Amino acid sequence: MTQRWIRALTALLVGGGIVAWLLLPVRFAVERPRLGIPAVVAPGETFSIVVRGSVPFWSGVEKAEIVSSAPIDTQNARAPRQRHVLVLTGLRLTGVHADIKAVVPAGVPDGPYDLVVSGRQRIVVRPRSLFVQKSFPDRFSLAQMADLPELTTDDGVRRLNAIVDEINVVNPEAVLLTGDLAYGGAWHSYDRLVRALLRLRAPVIAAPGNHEYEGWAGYLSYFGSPYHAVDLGKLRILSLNSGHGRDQLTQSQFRWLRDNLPPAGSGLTVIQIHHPPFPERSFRVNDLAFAALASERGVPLVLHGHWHADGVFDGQGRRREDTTAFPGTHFAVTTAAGRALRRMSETLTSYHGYRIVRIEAGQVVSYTYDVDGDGVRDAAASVPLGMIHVEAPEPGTVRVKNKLNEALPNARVRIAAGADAGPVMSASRGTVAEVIELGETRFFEVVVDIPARSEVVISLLPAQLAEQP
Amino acid sequence: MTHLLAVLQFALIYCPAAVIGLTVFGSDFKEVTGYLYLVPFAVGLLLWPALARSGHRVPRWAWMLLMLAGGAGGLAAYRPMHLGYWDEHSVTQAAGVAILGLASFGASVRAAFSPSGKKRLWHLPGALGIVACVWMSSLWYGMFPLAAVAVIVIGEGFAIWAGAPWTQQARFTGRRGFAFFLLFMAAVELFAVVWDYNVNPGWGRHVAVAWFAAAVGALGYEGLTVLRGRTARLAIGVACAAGVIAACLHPELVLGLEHTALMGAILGWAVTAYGCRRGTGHGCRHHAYDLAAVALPITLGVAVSSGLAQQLAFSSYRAVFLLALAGFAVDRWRRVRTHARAAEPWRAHPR
Repeated sequence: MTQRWIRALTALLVGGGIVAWLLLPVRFAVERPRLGIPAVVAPGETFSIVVRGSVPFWSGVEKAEIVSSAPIDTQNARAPRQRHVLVLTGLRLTGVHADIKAVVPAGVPDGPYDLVVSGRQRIVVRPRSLFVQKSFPDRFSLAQMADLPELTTDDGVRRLNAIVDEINVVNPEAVLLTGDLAYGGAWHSYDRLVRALLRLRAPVIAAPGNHEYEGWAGYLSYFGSPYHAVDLGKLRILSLNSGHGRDQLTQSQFRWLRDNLPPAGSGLTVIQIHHPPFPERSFRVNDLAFAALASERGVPLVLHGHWHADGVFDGQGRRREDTTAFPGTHFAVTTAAGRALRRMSETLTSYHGYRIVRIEAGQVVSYTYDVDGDGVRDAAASVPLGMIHVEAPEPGTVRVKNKLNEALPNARVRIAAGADAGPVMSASRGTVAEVIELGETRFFEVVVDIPARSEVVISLLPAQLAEQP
Repeated sequence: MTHLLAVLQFALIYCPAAVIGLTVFGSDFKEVTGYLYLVPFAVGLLLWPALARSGHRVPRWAWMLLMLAGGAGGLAAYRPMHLGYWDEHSVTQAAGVAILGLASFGASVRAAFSPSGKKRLWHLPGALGIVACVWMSSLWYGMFPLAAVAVIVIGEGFAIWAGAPWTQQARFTGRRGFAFFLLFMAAVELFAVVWDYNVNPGWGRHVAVAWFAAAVGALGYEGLTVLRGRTARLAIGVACAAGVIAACLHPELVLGLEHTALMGAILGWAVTAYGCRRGTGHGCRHHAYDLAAVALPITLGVAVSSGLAQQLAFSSYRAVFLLALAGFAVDRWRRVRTHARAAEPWRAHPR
């Protein structure tokens, strides 16, 4: 009898210990917003913070705030940071997932912010995950690239950083990464990738490719959910995962897409998915249904990678190398940004590049490039890499060489001020968008229009001089 | 019922959960930790016959220690996994899961060689129902079933402490060709939904429904062992085949709960058939050792299913399912006839 009681007591203690171990303390991980799935919101606007908690139906989150991100390439310097507490207005619990509605306080200045979510025993920071923007411009651009350089070597890292520098000059509103981000799947590759991507000024929206499955746990840990929707003002970017298994859009994702794709005419949506749906290195499950759905819902542009070459299809799956002006959905395959090139067409040349998608008044106005400089955009070409150079011949001056056959409106360059520079400076061209003070050094970020095939010198001037014509 | 749960947990919870972890949440075989996760599978495959032969020589304290270590390892590994993803190159995590797997395997074999107590009709369906509840928790987090395995393993440790003896009566008959095949194919087809949903834990609902259906299938099988009419059996077999054809030929139905329920029912049916022995009267008697052995076809099925998911476009493998089902039906019919002749020889030779 005594032995039975001892057993019962032990069982009770062990059982209690297990329950306590499983449930306490309540911890959580922030699933979004994060790098790859950012939130772009206006002051006073509500957005979702999705956390995964260790206890079902208990978020564990007590406070959320945003801290202005350190300006790019100044992470090691002490820069003044602004901190704003978010107002948490709603909570929806689904199992271990909690969807917390947070409001960005009115008056928060525009810019990138780190999200800091804290509970009783845990603080989670998601750097450059929230972008506050009072109003979205009517004309803006997106940059899109896929098949990034291999990051197992220093050369690959250097090449990726050069791409990041170039895209920072182009100054898009968002950067879309359409899969095959880290070949080989090693964790240190993802680590290097993330460090490079955190140097991008614009929000980064990521989708996985087939090579992400070489290190799937790494991708999930660094970028989270493989398919998601991100709203940039009135533009919705849907990212899908076609690398699943081997080149397929799964049934569950297709259903998700059907549910999240707005009806035709109700707003602008751009989709990115690594594999194109049409023959030649395409995905094979739900390919035609996907193409039909995109056409039916009036999606103007679907962006792909995977080919390591450029190509464009119309909604019927025909390759279009004749014109960009065809009706219906355009399925654009973008060349590799860093991997070995392939030749997928007799007429198109292959080079490393990326796409600049230009959007005006809720319409995609262009996503291709004029390769031969005849004033007409080629039907499928992407923008070649390595055509924009910025150098600083002396403090207070930068020289921008744009060898592209197209202008760069709203390009952004950083000018380090000389020792004699005052606190308020202007630029000989363009406007000063931001001043970054780092101890003794002061940087001026200048937004300027750079014409096609031009070399532009921009100098910092005392404010009163610049005001004169 | 808890005895059968301990027997089945390795086959129905640990093995599928571990394969799902490695496939859905990522694995890295460029690191040692990736291989640690595979240790329980290798040990299970290699040590199964040896343990069956000479498991009685393992002292009781060693079993209890294994159960304790497994429970502790599983619980230790579970918490960091819960907030991260599966293979994060953590030796502690990989070793914890591996020890849990070894203990889970040990608990399954140990329970299979322990006396089961009085057999009831609802024992196996009840155990399958608990398995379903465990899988339902994956809706919260995909790896939650591993925590449940840790708890079951600790429970088995208590059972050994309470004095459950080792009985050498259990013998694996190895006469289960088409039941093996059917289990394998049902696992291949059922777990397709997991690869489709991937990191979205929506698949937890499907797997849970499958195991609830399996409980019904098990009940149905046991019910049929007392049902003597051949027409009824034939009708059920034909209905099953028609359901499989309808459910498997369209890829979209992978996400349909009716598909999941049908696969689950077949799985439950086949599990019961695998562990069922006809007694002298009606009904069947579970042989726990055979039930524990369903781990092999199910794990193989889950693993192959994961491999096939790499090529979901290739769905003609489903035709093989019909072969398994037909073979199983013919096999059962033949056995039933043989049994009837042996039990009632005057029917075969009326004179």
